[in-house]
Amino acid sequence: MAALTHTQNVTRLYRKSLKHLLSWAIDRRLWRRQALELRDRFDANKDVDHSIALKLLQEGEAEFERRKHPDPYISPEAPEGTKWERNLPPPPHVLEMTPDEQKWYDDVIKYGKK
Amino acid sequence: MYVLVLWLPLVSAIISGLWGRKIGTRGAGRLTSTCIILCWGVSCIILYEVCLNGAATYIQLWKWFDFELLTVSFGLQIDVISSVMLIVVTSVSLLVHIYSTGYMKGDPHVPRFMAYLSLFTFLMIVLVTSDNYLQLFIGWEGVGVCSYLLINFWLTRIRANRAAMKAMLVNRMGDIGVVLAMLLMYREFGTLDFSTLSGLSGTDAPHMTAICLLLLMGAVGKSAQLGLHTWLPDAMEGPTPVSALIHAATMVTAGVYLIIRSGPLFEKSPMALTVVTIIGALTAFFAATTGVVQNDLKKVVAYSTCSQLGYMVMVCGISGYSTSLFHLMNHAFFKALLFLSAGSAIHAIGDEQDMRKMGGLLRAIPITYVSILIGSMSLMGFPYLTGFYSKDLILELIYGRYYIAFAYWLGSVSALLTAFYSMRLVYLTFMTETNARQGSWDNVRESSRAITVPLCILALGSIFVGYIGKEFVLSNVMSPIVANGVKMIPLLFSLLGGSLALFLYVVVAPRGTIWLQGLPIYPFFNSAWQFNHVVNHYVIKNVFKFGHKVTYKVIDRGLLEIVGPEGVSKICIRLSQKISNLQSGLIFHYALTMISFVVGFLYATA
Repeated sequence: MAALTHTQNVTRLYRKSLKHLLSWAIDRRLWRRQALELRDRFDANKDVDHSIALKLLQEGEAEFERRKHPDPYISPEAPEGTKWERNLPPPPHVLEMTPDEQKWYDDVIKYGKK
Repeated sequence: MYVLVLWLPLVSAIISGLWGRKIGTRGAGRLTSTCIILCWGVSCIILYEVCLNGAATYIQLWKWFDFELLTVSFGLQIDVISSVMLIVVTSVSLLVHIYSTGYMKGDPHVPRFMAYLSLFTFLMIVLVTSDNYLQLFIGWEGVGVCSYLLINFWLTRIRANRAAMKAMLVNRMGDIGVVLAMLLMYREFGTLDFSTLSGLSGTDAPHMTAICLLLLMGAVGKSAQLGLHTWLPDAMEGPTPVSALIHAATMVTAGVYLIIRSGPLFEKSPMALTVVTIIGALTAFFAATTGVVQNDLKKVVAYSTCSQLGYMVMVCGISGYSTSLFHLMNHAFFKALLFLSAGSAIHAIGDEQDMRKMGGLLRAIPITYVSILIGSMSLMGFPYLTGFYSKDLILELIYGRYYIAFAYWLGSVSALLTAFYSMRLVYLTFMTETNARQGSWDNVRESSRAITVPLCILALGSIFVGYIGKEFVLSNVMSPIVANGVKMIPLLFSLLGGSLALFLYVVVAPRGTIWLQGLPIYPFFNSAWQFNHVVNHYVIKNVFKFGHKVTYKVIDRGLLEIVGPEGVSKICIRLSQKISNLQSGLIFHYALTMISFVVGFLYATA
């Protein structure tokens, strides 16, 4: 995989900082104020020289590691979420299905394609 | 009639498990629920006869095996302890069965689920009605297997697979203790019957402390006490009814039941009793601190269970077996209520379990809110609710033992923390402005009657069981005489904890400070004191290394191979080669051999 560009690194840091900030804040109104402050911090340094920007990125990553949430929110349907992989339909070649199971399997596949 | 209590759940498990496709989802639900209702009815009659009429019953069903040194029969011993456990198991199981018919609706494997639940109930009944340790061990292992199957119910989930295996392996650690304890008991006393052992325990056996500590090891594993507790939070991977039945009300209390049942043995070992108190107190405190910072609704309740089990074990350490049994009974009701209410809330909000994405459910699901509030207040020990009667008594009894003051203070601080996380749970889930996702929030509505009716019944239990139960479970317990100030400490701590939670979340948080972010203690508590990390890094890793390098490479593939098959075959080959070399076909070789032997023979006989 190709290495990420500087811009990609910065946007990823910003994105995950926002997510972890919401995990800390819980309340969206409280999070909103903190998120604006975070945005200001990123905007303040958006036109700096590349060598300084690299240093700032490193500092930002270090700060993120220090302040990240130990148990960030994961959506139930996302990987590692509480509903992830629940009742996955089996691959059709594995099982010989009864008509009821076939109906259920078709329903699940149909639902999954929506 | 007494035998019916054993067979009804088994019959329903067999029919639902083997002919689930024939009877269908609804049929499986109805059949298993009906069998458990009948089972509960029999349990009520047993409770009436044994507890109120004082008619303890012993039934020998058949002789299991009999050789000269040991006779083990398969029998039922139904005394006060068994009858209370029976009513707890069947009541919670009945309500969980009914609840499951609503909660699991839409799942493609409901008959299998109901069969597992019934099988678990059967094995739990085997455990609590057995009259000897060997029979108890069948139930003990059986409920472990059912726990594995139910945690892994959604078997396509890797996390569920991992959690189930973890539960199984950690429990095996404790089970080794029970097996060794049984071997020692057999060596010391020549029997495994409860009644005989309680009579013989008056004699001074040299290994009594070892027996008790090994039994405690089993209890630590099964009841998720400090050290072997790591499986319980992970076991929340199973469906919520499973968490309510197995990981709150019944199976996890089997360890406490084992200690209570082995009370006459523990009484002969003061050292073992002290260890029991220390482990219980530390577990209560540890789990309460961890529960304070959990975000998963079910994990908060799971750590709360761990903490309450700590109270039960702690009071066993000061010989308060009846009080422990009483708290076990009370806890079963309010904890089952909490789990089932949590399940109802999770169900309502689109299977979201994280409390940070809940809130505002108070008006949307009022029955669930009232249920969880009653359960939480009972757990906090709010005056005249079920939890109050046992929790306060435990702390008062502990206070009476001045030499273990630390246990009292750990218990009291745990009460404060319990109140804190209970109020936090109620506030974040129901009272604060909603933080739910739009898609989840749009479909929020109160659950079906199959879910709300069990909640209402358990809510009544969480209010009245303590008041009613104390008359027959605590009839032989004298309430200790302590100063009023001391009596008030747990209550004041609970009020303080609840108020502190509300103050932090209602007053401090909205002022724009993310006050938790700077606290270094938060990740420590959130990760359960880094216990998993420490155990994995320092214990499991070294055990794996030892297993690979020593057990596997040096012993299995080295020593045993050299001494065993490989060595024997090599020696045989070498020997046969040498012997075959003797047959050279040259006459003077044979003559030389013959002469040598003759000379040797003459020399030896001369």
